[in-house]
Amino acid sequence: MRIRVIAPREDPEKQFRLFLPVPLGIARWRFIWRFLPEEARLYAPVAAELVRALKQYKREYGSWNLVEVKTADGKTHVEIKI
Amino acid sequence: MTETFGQRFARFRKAKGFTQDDIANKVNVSSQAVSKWENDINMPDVGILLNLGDILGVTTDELLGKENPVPAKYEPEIVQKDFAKLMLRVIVDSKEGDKVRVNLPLQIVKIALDAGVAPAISVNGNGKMADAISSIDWKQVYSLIEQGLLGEIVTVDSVDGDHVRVVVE
Repeated sequence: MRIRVIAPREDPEKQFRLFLPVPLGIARWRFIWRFLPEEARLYAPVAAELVRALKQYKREYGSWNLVEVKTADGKTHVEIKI
Repeated sequence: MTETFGQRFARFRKAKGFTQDDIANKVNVSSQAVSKWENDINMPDVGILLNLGDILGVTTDELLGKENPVPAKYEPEIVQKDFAKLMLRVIVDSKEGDKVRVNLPLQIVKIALDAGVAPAISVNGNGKMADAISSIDWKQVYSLIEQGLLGEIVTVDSVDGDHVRVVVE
């Protein structure tokens, strides 16, 4: 899983970019779920099964963007790619 | 209700904080012309359309609403053949112009539903929108997909201008 955060600036040298590779298996670690919003925490009990299904889908059909957020002002663009 | 070109253009313009005059000056047309675009009386020329996309920070496809998915239809053969491949896409366009896209393989949706967890979508604390989304019977939706329903299966347009669509493809 790769988390990509881009905050474009008018000055390209000041452009903020963050690429964060996160092992998908980390979702099985219980303590990780504590830091997530309450809605997301509902998925903790089935984390292992979800991870297995995500990995299987990626193996068979390739990578895809699980979540993509773009703000209207173009200042932030966040992608979570599996 | 499908969003017209004028409504979409006005939404993108407001999200960028431009007035009709600002747009008119940038593409060398009168502000009346811009007003006519927003009221769906006229459409901009192709050359201007490309400029508008750049000015508003959107693609021409987005401006023309080409991102709109196909209407829902029953395709049992396709669903049976490609069920594991199907993706549930949740598309949220807020009135401010923010965009959120969540793409969930149907297998993931099934695991969540079996565990008693339904997708939750909150749009900028918009209570009516959240109520509308939470009233969706996801198990029923999933059951319809299993029977072959494809395309845009849920559409929620709030009076505040937020749009949520759920598409299976």
